[in-house]
Amino acid sequence: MKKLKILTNGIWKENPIFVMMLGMCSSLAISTSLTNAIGMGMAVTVVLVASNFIISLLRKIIPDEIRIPVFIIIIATLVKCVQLLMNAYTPSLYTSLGVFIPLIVVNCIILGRAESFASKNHPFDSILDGLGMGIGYTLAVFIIAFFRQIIGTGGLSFYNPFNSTQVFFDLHLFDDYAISLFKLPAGAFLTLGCILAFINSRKMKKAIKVDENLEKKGSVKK
Amino acid sequence: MKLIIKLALFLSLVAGLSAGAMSYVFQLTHPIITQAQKEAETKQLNAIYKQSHFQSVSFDHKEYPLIENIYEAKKDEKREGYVYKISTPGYGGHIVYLVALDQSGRYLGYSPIDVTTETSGFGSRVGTKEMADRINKKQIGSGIDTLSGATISSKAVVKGIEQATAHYQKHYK
Repeated sequence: MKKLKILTNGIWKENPIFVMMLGMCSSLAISTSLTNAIGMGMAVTVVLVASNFIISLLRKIIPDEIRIPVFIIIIATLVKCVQLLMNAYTPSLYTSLGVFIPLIVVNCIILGRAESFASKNHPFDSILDGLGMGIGYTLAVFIIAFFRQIIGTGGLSFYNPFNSTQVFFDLHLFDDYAISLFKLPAGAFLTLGCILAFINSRKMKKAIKVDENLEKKGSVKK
Repeated sequence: MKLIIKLALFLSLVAGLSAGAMSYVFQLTHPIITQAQKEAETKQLNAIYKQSHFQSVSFDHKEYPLIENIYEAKKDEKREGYVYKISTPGYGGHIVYLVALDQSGRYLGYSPIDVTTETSGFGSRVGTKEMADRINKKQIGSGIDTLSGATISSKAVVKGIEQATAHYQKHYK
């Protein structure tokens, strides 16, 4: 039960983008299409799981004074390896993500999880945490990309990230009414703002209900 | 003092290990990457001239800085035209594309290779059919219109074509 909680923690309760607001730069930049979102999500997840695992294995050896530089070296190595592998095996995804693959190094989610979770927990728990956070990141970017692609291009398309010739679906809904602002970073901010407003309004309603319930209970006791 | 040496040693050990891991992955992927790049380029060359044989031609890179490569296309010993690989500074970085200057005196087969540095939805339009339509089948040496809304990127593309034209007219006409 506790293991499951570690996994789901990153997906919803502490979603890296919608709740913790980490790794904004890359997620706002690449969330222009569903294919990009899934591709970037997978790259981040792989790096996150691997870095969490390695750092958690080494957590007792790494001297406390230089833990941040060591974390960064480990993360940078992993990202470079992922970048080379993507360039070799998924060239189309590599060109569409471009500069944002090497920028995974400075994605705060990864360093954040290394510092706050992997360096204090068992390797298996750290893998679960990395996986949960990675899925949470992918999910959040996917949601942003969904709205941006529909509004920005007037359609919705999804290719196999590993092979751009394999098209899952390619819909053109209202091509003539696309708002190209939503393909730009400003559109990403607008989209994210609206989604956050929606999530927060739901949360507030819930919180108010809980408060009311507590008050009722309190009044009964009196 | 002792602590500093210990920390420095540990850090350099980690750095050394990571360098080793990286060079291993690099050696694993490097041949695949160069192979894929070559294949992609020949695929694009073949899309312009079908069943032709391509050979690189040497040229003065200092005089024509935007030209990256020139291929002579031959079919059965007959020259069909020259394909120029151009790398021209656009809005956010270099735009790379191929364009053929055909024996018939026209531009042919404008095909973008890398437009990822241009603003998506604006400058990136130089990578679409819209730009290709303005170039293909135009008389060599005639002016090419830029795209409104993608002025900087399309001007950069046109600049590259002008340089290719200058080289073509000087050497092959």
